[in-house]
Amino acid sequence: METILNFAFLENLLVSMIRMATPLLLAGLGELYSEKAGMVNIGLDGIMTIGAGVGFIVGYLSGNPLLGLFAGSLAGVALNLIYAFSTISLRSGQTINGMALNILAPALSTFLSRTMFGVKTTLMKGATIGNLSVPVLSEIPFIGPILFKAHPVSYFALFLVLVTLWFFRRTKPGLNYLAVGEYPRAAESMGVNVTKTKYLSCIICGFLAGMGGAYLTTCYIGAYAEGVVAGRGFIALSAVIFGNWTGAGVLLATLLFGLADAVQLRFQVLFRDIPYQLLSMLPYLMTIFVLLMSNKQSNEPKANGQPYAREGK
Amino acid sequence: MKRYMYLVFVLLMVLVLAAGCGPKAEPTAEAGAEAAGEEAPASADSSADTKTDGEKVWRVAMIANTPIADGGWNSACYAGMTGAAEKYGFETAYSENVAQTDYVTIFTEYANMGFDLVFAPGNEFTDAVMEVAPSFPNTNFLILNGDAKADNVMSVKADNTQMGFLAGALAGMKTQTGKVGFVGGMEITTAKQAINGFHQGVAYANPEAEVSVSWANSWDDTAKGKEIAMSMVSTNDVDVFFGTASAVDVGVREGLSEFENRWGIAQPGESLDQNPERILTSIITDNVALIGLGLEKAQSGTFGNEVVEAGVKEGVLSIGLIGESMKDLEESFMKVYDQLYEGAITIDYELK
Repeated sequence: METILNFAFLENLLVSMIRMATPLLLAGLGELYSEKAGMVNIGLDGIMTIGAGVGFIVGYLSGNPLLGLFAGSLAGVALNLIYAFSTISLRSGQTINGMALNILAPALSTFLSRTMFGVKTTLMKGATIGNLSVPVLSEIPFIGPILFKAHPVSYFALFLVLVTLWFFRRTKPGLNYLAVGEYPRAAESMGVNVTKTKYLSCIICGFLAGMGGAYLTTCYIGAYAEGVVAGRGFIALSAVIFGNWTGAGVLLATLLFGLADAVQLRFQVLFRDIPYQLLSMLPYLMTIFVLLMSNKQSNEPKANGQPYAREGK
Repeated sequence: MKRYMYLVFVLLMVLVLAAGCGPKAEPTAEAGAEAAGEEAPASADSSADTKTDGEKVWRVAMIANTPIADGGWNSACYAGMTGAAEKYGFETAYSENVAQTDYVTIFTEYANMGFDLVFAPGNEFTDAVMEVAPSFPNTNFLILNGDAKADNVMSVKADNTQMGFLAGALAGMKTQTGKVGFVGGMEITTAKQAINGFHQGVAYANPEAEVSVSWANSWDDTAKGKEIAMSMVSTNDVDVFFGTASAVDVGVREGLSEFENRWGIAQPGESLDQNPERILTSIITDNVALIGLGLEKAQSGTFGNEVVEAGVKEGVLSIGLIGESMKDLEESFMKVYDQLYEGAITIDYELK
């Protein structure tokens, strides 16, 4: 047990937790903005995939991973506009359109990367954006490496959580935005442009989820493997439900996923007698357990997932 | 409203097309012709078995359960197939990302399309092959790393235990902390064989060294690979890594770059240029030779009822370019390789 209960182990565990939670948090926040405007987007995984693919290609070709990160985010927006157009303007089902993104994106991303790099026996390696180290503060033992030596994108994601809390609680546009997800007809009658808000929500969602995907290939590892997203979009999707549709909730949920995964990887090394399949289940078991324990009132927007028709048809 | 319905319809058509090109690409005659690409000019009707001059067009198809560009196992197999196909004058086709439930369907379709040889790169395809093969006596099935054989089924396998042994011996020699690590994708037979060999190799070179094993539960989650490497370093001070988890291995080696004095051993293709400072060497499996064996036998009509196992002695396993960080060990490591070649080292193949 002494291998677990020491500061070095805990420090590493928490650093690893933040690193693994970052892409989930970005995509989760994107989905939060989407659902707050009543747009359930299960295409999150697809958006992350295209973000990862385009992000890597642009980052590799330009030699500038930051540009790649940005391009990946924009690719996410572009892809999500397909979803936005068919669900908002054409009012078709959100689930089926989200699913379509999940089918389209991996194929498109594979097509793009093979057009660029062909089929090689090894993966192409690109540059990555390194960690940020806050001077002086990062020297503080234990807390320093965890909080002040993280990745700039992790800080950005955490900052976004604060912005989200402030936006939805304290600003008028934020309340108008919420009204679109709760009761769009009332919002419309008060002069809120529902269609515009819904489109905006899709742009934000595409941008953040695309960035979450691009983070994987331009910040985490400088390589693009088809399937690198590995279902993270779906985890982020569940983090929004798990986090009860609040910014802080999404943050906690993604950190919990990150922690559980970090713990299970370390336990595989430390406890060799436990079958690894059992340990791999840990993040998911933890989710079920916490969901069972919590019986709060649901914060889900009332008009979530429903198409909105202005003329009332 | 009618205009909208029309748009929805067009969009659906586009999506259906996109889905068609998606992960579960069905084998089509076009796919065959397309994949044959540069080497062989695709005949106008590639479902016909003869060219205009009456010469037989040999065709081989590969099925993969991950992308063929995974930078690991299936990339190596695909390169092996195209390499061998070029040598023996075959046209090629492939289906990738095939789910386990679709194995039988895809095999049946290729056989129905009259392919001469269907290449199944992995023991996990064995059951599906044995189910399909009896119904198509004119199509030969080649299983890589399998144990099955029948009239039109043949298995070829690289000696994974030897591969693991070589990597283990090198890891044992190189380690400074006395801790070495193995990263597996999923616990399949070939991975178990490699681990078995790895343990023996480490014990041979450095009986004191300790082996840590970790499973990614994935073949393509590179990010998880990086996380595994970092957790192994931080919890157990592992300093030499070997893995058989395809794209995950790339992430593992990326994780090593964050620390001083940590190294990786690559497989199955030449990978030194990926990370010349951190990769010691690559244990190379010559898939062209291995798969070529099947193609050659298919052409000469001697295919079937055979399991061929090939390792160092047969020239299928070899050592790639030597990295800067193992120059000092090159001589003693090549000695182990030579001993394995001469049969002076006996390996226990029994899986525990």
